[in-house]
Amino acid sequence: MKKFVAIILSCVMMLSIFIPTATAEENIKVGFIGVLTGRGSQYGEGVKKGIEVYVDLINEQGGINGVPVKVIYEDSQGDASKGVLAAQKLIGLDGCVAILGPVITPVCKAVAEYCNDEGIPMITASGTDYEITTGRPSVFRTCFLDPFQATVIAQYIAAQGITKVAALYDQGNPYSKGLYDAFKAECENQGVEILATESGSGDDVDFKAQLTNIKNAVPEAVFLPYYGEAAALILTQANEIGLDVKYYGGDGISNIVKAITDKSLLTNMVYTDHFSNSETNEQALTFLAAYRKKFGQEPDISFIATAYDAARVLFDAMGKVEDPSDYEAVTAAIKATDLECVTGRITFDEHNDPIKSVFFTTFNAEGKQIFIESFAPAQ
Amino acid sequence: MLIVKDLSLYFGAIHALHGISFHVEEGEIVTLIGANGAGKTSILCAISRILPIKTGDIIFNGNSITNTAPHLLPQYGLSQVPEGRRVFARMSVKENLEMGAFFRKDTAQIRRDRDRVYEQFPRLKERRHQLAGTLSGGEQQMLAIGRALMSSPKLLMMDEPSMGLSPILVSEIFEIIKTINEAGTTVLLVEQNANMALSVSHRGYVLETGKIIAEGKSQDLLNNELVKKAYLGIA
Amino acid sequence: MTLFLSQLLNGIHVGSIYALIALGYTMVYGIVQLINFAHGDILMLSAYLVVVGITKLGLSPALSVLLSIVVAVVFGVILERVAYRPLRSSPRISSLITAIGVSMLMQNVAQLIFSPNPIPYPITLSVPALNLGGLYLSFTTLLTVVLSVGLMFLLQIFVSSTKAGKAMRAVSEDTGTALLMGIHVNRIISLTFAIGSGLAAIGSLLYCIAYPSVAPTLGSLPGIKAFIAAVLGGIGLIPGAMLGGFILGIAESLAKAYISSRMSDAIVYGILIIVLLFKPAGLLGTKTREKV
Repeated sequence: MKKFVAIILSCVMMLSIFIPTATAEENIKVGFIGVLTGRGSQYGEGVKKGIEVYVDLINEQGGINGVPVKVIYEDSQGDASKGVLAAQKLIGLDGCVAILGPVITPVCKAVAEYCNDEGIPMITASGTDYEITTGRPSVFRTCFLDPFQATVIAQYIAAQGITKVAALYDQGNPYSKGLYDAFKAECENQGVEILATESGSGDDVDFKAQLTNIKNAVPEAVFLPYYGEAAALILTQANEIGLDVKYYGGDGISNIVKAITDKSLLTNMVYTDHFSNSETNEQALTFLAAYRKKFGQEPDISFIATAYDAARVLFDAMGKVEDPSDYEAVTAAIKATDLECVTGRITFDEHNDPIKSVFFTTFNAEGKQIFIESFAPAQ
Repeated sequence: MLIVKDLSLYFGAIHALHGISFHVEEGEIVTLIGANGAGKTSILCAISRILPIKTGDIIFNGNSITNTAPHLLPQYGLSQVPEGRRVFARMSVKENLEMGAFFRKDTAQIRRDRDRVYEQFPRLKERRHQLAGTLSGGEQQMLAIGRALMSSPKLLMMDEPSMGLSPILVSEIFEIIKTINEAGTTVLLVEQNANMALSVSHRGYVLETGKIIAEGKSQDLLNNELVKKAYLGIA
Repeated sequence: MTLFLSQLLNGIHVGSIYALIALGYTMVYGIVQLINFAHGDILMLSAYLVVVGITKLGLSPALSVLLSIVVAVVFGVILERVAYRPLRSSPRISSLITAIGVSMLMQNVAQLIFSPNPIPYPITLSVPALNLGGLYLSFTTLLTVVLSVGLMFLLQIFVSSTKAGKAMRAVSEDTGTALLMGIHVNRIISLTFAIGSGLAAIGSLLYCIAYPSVAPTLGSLPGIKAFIAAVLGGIGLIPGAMLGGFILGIAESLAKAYISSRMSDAIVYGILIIVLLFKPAGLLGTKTREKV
């Protein structure tokens, strides 16, 4: 009797493996990987929300060619190896046919490598490092690049008449270092002198020693390519030691508002962002209205918009092909994209990078984002 | 004043005491003599409640203290001068004496008692601000006694006060013990130096491997053949 | 020269916080020979209490800080009672493992309640700084150093002049004999934990004003550094904790300023190793010698 029951149970167990696949044909599954816990989680949360808003919209309209879309969300915890494991699970176990994300550079690089090996289409809404798409035909992004934004920052600083700056960056972090290298190169072109360069880990809390050295060099401005949490500590401590200058940073700064206690310090911070809520194009208005309706507030991170765009680009491409699980066809369709999106018109160059603008942004004393001006790349 | 009945104690795995019984009357000096390892220190530690006992009863002034917490005993009038002096080396002489009177609240009387200790031990008064660890062996013994006296004890237990001291100092210490007793303090004296202990005490017990093998008036014990051979070094 | 003095000031600032926290480690070690690994996490506990006090309970900053100190003190006493006292007669390794366990428990509970994401500390000081002939002295630094040194001074007086303080010294030196004196040893030990935790709570305030980011792992790094400071100066000795704290803070700041921020930790640990090679009991530690 026991043996009979055992055989029945193992058959049931074997059959259960097939069940997910059986239901898979009822909708199109796409995977999301992003940092939802730990440093940078506001970005992960933001990208997730942006995708959710677009998925709701498209499913309201019946989905892709009548088939509803389902996104499965995985947390990379900001760790590259966890990100790859998540990708393997989403593709291999959950039946996903494409990846939206990841969110931060190190995870993007690792997952892009995996997707490239398998030919899986991947669109990241926030991976700004140049190498992410190099030599990877199925990997795209809907945000601008680090070398691009750092170069633009240097040009912007020069345009303000500033000739002497200092830099504080994280040597051990590829995002921070990438920005610094590009910034340094463009400063040379622009005749801007870097008086002092200091390094401090983004995981550290104490930057007073480095800031004191920078203060001693008397720069007119400081380049600060960090994520918001570290930048918050840096601004606070700089204020404490009396370093009173303008700070320039990249898109990683945007979550600084939630991390800083004294918001009045933010008026000295200028950074490059992917979107501004005061944008008025048609797509932007649709997006903003849908977001407000779903979440009851204004989007606070620009990646919410680029994520919405990434989802739109992906689903639009999938709508143009016969079989959304045909990696090659979808990739080709994405490559051929020419869409008016929330964050501007998106087309892709040979490097799979979108040709789009940078939004210079600052804050008021209450921490509200203030749009300064946008800067379009040379075509 | 103190009655110990059928006390048994284990020190780790060793059965250190086998059903010991003895008593101390008010005003006496009673001594426990015996060789090293006979169990003398164990008895004092048991009475002070520092060592847990297996069986037996300890009755002090009519009250059973078998289950009392150790830090309460000085308040009842039971104090110990521990083996090896155990003065607080990093504290001054004055502070050591203060510690002896820790549980007391009557500041004026404490000061009077302290002055009396200084009278009895003038060398301590000289060195009262010195760290106890810098005193000589004899001075530390005096400090340990003085410290115990600061608790104004009814029964003072002393564990091998002569250990490591020169013969002159030993005589001095035993003179002091006599003086303390004459001033009204009952003394329970544990000693290896059987000669001195028996000559200064009223009664004695002889301890051998955890058992009492002889007891009686100290004078009688001094003349006891067994005791003489084993403990007094007289052939 | 002004640059060097500024960097030195940075070091004194952070060093005084380390010293304050190190006191808790050293006092507990002195009295029960236990390295209370959960001590650093009291910083985290206090910080979250302030956050909850201000943001959820709507209390004033002062009241929230007071609340955090009171809770930290009570927590320290309860911790000793529940986790460490039952193990007093067990081999020392048991209490050590328990301490590590408590630390992990605290961090994980905090993670469950508050999420692992860092949140800003809701108290800042916005008082203008002093300019002493080119040397910039921020109010935060001034407050931190004065408060820390003041508290250390008060602790010294407490330990050397008050009855309870002397009892603490007696129990630290010889617990058995202290019992014979009629000293309520358990109460003195509780008092030690209470004082240590209270100082850690104040240390938490000073630390978070300087580095206003609260996460469940807040206490790990300063905890380890304070412990190293205590060992450096001589574990079990109050002046040792103070000395060790300042030395560590200054060494760390100067290393960051003049050598490299990545190497600064390695340099500090290197100093510790070298000191211990020559003075195994720490800078102020001595092997106690007793005359027989």
